[in-house]
Amino acid sequence: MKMKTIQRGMLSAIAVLASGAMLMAQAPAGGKGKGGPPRPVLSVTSTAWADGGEVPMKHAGRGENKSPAFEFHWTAGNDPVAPPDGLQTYAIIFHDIENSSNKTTVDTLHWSAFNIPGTTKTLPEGLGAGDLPDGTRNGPGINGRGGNPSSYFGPGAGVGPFHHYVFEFYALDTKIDLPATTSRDELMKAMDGHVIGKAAYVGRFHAPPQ
Amino acid sequence: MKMEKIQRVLLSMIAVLATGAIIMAQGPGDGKGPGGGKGGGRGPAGPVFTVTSPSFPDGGEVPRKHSFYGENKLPQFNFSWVQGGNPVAAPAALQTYVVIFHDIENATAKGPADTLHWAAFNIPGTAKGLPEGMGTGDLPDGTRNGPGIGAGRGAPGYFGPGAGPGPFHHYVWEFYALDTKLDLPANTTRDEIVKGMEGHVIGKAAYVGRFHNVP
Repeated sequence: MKMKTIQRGMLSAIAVLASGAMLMAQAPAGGKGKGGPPRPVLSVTSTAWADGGEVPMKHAGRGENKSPAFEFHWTAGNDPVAPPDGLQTYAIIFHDIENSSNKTTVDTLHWSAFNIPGTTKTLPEGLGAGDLPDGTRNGPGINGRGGNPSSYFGPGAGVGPFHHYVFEFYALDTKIDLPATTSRDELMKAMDGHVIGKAAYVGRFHAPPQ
Repeated sequence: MKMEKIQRVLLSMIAVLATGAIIMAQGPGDGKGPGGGKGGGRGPAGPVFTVTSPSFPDGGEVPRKHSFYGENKLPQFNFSWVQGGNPVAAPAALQTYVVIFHDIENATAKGPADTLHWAAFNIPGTAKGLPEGMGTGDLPDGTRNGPGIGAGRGAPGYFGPGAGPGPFHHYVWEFYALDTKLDLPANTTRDEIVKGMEGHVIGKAAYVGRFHNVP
C-alpha cells in the first residue's frame, strides 16, 4: 500500500512536470525563451496564395503542377535575425491531410525534399526534379514511383469538399544520408533529434465544378 | 544465390503492388471523378465526410475567444456527409467520431512530433457536430475527452491555441469517422488512439486555424 502511494505520488509529480514541459514548449515556439535572449524562430511565407487560402490551379496536380515559391525567415521577437549556428539543412514534407487510405490513419504524402542547404533563403517557383546542383534531393511522394525522378506533385482533390494541403518545413542541424527512394517513415526517423525549427504553410484545394 | 534472387523478385513484386495500392488510394480520397466521392470510376461513389464551422473561416485566424488567452472555448463544428455536392446520410457502418487537435508548428525536444492540444473519442456517430464550449471529462452521450494539454493539467478537454507573439502557428482539427468504438481509458496516449483507429477510418475531414498572440 505504501509503495503504491509512493508510486501514485511519483506519477502525479511526473504528470505535473510533463504539463510544465508542454507549457514551456509553447514559449520558445513564440520566440520567447524563459530567461536568456529570444531564440530564432523559423517562419515561411509565400506570395503564391495567402496562408490558409486556396491553392491556385497553377500549383495543382490537375493544373501546371508547379511548386510554389517560398521564402524562409528567421526572427526573434519579430526582428529578422541570423539562423541558428547549428542549421545545416531544411526538409519539406507536403501532404494531403484529408485522405485516409485503406481505412488507415495514414494521409497522403504528395512530395518531400531534403538536404536543402541551410543557406537557402528562397525556393523558386517550379523547383526541379531529382537531385539538384545545390544538394537538394527530391524524395518520396506521388512522383518518383516506378523509376520516375521525384518532384513536387500538387493538390488533386476532386469537386467535393476542400482538402487541406500542408507544407511542413523542418530546419535541421544535420544532413540526411538517405537515397531519393527512401520512405516517409525513414525520413522522419532521420530527422528525430535534429529539428531546430519548424514552420508550416497551408493551402486548401478542390477542383472547380465541371 | 537462387533463394536470394527469388527474394529480390518477390520484394519487387511487393513494391509494385504497394505502389498500385497507393495510387488507387488517391481515387477515393482525391475524388478524381465528378461527385467528389468517386473513386475515379473504380467502384461505387461513397459519401464524403466534411466539417464546417460558423466560428471562423477555414484556414483563417482563430478568434481569441477560442484561444488559451481568451475563454479557451471549443469552436462550434458541424458534421455533414455529402455526395456529388448533395447532403446524404452517413454510411451505415458509422459508429463514432474522433477529433485530434494539434499545433503542427511545435517541435518538442528536437523531434518531429508536434504538440497535441486535445483529443476526444467515442463521439457518437449520430452527432451532427460539436457544440461551442464542449464539456470536459466523460460526457453523457459517450464522448470521452482524452489526452492533451488539458488532460496534463488534470482536466481532459479542449485546450485552445497558445502561440506567442511571433509567427502564426497552424492549428489543425482532424476529424475521423470510424466504424468502431475505441475501448481506451481517458488517460490513453495519442499513439494508442491512432493505433485503435487503424483499419476503421471510413471518413476524414480537417479544419485549420492560424493563431499568434497579439498582446
